[in-house]
Amino acid sequence: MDTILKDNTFVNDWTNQIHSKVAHIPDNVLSDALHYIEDKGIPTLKTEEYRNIPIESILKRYFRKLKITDTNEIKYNIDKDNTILLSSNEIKTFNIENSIDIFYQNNLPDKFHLLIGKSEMHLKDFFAALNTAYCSKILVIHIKGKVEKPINIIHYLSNQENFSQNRILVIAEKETDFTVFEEYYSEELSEPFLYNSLSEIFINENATGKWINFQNSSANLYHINNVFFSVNQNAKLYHHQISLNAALWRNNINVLMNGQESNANLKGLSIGKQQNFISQNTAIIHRVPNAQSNQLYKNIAEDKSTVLFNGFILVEPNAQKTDAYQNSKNILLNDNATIFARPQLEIYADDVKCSHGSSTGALNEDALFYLKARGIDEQTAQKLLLKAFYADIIESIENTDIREYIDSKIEI
Amino acid sequence: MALLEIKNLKVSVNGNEILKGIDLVINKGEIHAIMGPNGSGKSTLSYVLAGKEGYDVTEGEIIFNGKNLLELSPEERAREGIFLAFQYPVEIPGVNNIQFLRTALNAIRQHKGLEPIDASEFLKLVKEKQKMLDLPANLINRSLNDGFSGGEKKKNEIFQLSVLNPLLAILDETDSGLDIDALRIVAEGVNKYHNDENAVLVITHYQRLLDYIVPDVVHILYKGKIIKSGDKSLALELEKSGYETFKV
Repeated sequence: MDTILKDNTFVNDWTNQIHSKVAHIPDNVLSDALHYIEDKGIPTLKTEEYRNIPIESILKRYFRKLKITDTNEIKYNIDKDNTILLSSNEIKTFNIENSIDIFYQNNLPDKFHLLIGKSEMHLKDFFAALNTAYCSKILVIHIKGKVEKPINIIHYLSNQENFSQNRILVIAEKETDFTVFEEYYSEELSEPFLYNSLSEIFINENATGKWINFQNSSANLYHINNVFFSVNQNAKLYHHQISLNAALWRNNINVLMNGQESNANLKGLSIGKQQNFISQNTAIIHRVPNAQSNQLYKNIAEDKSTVLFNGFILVEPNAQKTDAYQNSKNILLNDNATIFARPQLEIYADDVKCSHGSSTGALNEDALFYLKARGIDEQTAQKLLLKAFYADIIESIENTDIREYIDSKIEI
Repeated sequence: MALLEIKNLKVSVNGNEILKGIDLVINKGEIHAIMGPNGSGKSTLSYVLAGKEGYDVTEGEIIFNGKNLLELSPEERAREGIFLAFQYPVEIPGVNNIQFLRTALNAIRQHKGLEPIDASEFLKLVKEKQKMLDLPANLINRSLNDGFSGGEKKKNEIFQLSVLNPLLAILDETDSGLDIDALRIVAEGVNKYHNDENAVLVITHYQRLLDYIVPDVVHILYKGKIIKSGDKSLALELEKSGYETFKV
């Protein structure tokens, strides 16, 4: 007996406002998504995955009435090679390399069409279902060979709207090598904006993908980001999640280790300020033997912010010789800040190496005193120690330009 | 005017009185040594001078260079010219040794109304002091005390002392954990730093260091009180007869 009252009226009212020019996606995928929305409704505080985020009250308070427009001119000039500017209904590209094909349409060629919604655990989130059911055009990035420069994806948010969705499909063919740098650009947002994006990325045999998602935006931005990686035989994924300013960053990073000798290395840095929410949720599924996954997330919470880390690892019965490691390190700078760190391991194979660790605390008092005893003021000493705390996350970003750019934007 | 004047200093930690009325005067150009057994309050004295939290001054005052030291924060004290060479220097991975030292030096210079130190001048200064203390270059460029041996940490403290050039250097058991060669090098570093304008307070168990850093005055600290003061021969006497003979 369902004691949670599903607020169907709100959901219906809401989804009716979202434009119905839906993308052409496989019928079963669409109907599953619609059923999920009808069945589960919007997440509430009782919904396990959204337990510490007041998502229901955020939706009802700021997004009851949605403002969506059809014509959004991207008022932004790009001059960086290999760049895609993605707004809610158009894209602008600049100097895309020959090894990459870009499609942006609601009716895709079969080979791509059949991949939509195929990602593992695709339907485990309301916003993922919403994106699947109601997203219009899909951006496809088809990587056919080695990519020399990073592919820049800039999510463009217009202040003529308060809600938008985008969907991205990336296919990296065998033996390719690519880096994606994802960023957010918004016009001056004077009111809350809800941005719901979903990306499905297939990294085929022997390919290597480096994906850096840099989240630093307006204090009015609420962003839900569902990402699904499928890592095939001998393929490698290096993922960096850097989350700074916004009202809410909600990242669901799902990785399926789908081929033997596959390797996933995930790192993240979240810095919560003011009353912001940052929620990092990772789910790694080891389906086959001999794959390795490694996660390190560092979180800093200041002021009255809330930073959450949920790390789920599933090792299926056949996934022998799995190596799966997870660690989160957390610093609270303030009595009013909150950090939740929750590792979850479900291991069904018996010949595996798995571990998880988590530590939460304040800055080392002895270290602070040492710096002060040398003449360094409290604020500078704190900055030095915090920079030291997250240094390894930033330093592991291989591309120098990206690394230095991100480092310059971190205000601590 | 004395550089440092401690008057009837009483300090408690967690309700226990550790220092029971210390009087001490150090003038510019002097080297003082404080010797005492474990638990006598030696480290408490050095921490109180540096401004560490957790030490309650219940009575007395400390005047440093004409200023009320107890009213100043640890960073203000360092900028006024107090330097504590820690007995157990903290390891701070991720904070670069050189960058940290430069930040500290510039904070002190700013306090004195000076411009930040020129990059090449700083490099020269660092190289000079590094050579003097026989510290390998890779150590200097690494994270602060990270992976340093005990002896290297102590040398690093004296390296910082040489660069920051304070008015009063407090050496808290700098000799512990040092072999004879390292001891000589460290002592030489301290002696090179020492001149008529500054002062050194050496806190130690053993007389051996005082063969190299020769004190003008030796004080015996016993159960929170200075029970005797004298010249350097007092240290030798102490070595021979132990603390028992001096107990009041």
